Amino acid sequence: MKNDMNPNPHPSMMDVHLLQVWGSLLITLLGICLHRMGPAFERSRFGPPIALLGFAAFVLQPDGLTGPEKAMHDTLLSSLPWIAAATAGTLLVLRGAPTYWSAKSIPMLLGWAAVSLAWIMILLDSDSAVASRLLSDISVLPGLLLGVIAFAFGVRLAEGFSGASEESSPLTVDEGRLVRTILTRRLGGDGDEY
Amino acid sequence: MSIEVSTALTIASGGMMLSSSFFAIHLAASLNPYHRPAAPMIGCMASFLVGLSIATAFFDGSTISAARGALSDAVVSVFSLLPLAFAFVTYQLARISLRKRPEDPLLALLGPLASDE
Repeated sequence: MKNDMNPNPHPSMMDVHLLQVWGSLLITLLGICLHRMGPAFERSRFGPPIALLGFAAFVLQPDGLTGPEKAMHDTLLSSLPWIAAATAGTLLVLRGAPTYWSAKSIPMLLGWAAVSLAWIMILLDSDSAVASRLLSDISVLPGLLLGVIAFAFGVRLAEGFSGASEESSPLTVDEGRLVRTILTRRLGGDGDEY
Repeated sequence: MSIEVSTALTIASGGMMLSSSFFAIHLAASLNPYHRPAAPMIGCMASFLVGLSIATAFFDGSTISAARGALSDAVVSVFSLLPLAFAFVTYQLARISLRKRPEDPLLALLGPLASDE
């Protein structure tokens, strides 16, 4: 069986480590989800610092981590350099790509250098048993997909239950003036009416 | 090149728990007055419980240990598969980097003088 865990002589310390590992992952996900809410919700601005805090707490684990979490932690740490290079490279290439047919050469070159660096790190890190490991790793995909299907089914069910909402009331005079001011400002007017 | 069925099922059950817990966290974090989170949350919990029972069935130990093992294996597997996703991203980056302006059929109708401008 793959999930054999080493017995820890200090169960209380192990509990603290487990709490830190899973708690930090939870906080990271929470931060990402808060950030994904967008600027319409004020709490979205707390997303990035919360995610960063969780990520830092996950990376900066004290010694003594054992069991399956150790493998998870090691995998993340070993993947971190190429993921950082790949993320930076992707963002730079996207920034330099010819949007409206005018390319920016310097970000594009820097981006491709980072992408190449990421691939070099991936290839240097890969071992000969990668093919056989890949086969077992691919089994995570149907599991992830089943989770997505269950969620999508729930969303579909919730949407099916919700009836047609009634027509919204027209804007008040103040709301109308506010919308007009915003539009005027966006379109280049002075917008000092409100 | 073969894998044990129990290993594959453990990883798959971890994947189920991972994605359903992600969506459950997302529902909780993005709760707002326009949300109807009950049905999706029930779906996520059901999916998590199915994953947990599969993981427990293939693990000689407590339920918590089974969940820890399966979730950790799933995270490791996701990270192992990331290079495949990055290969796709690299292909798309190459496509957008090398794309050229398509010929405008209206300008082509005007003849060579217009295309020179």
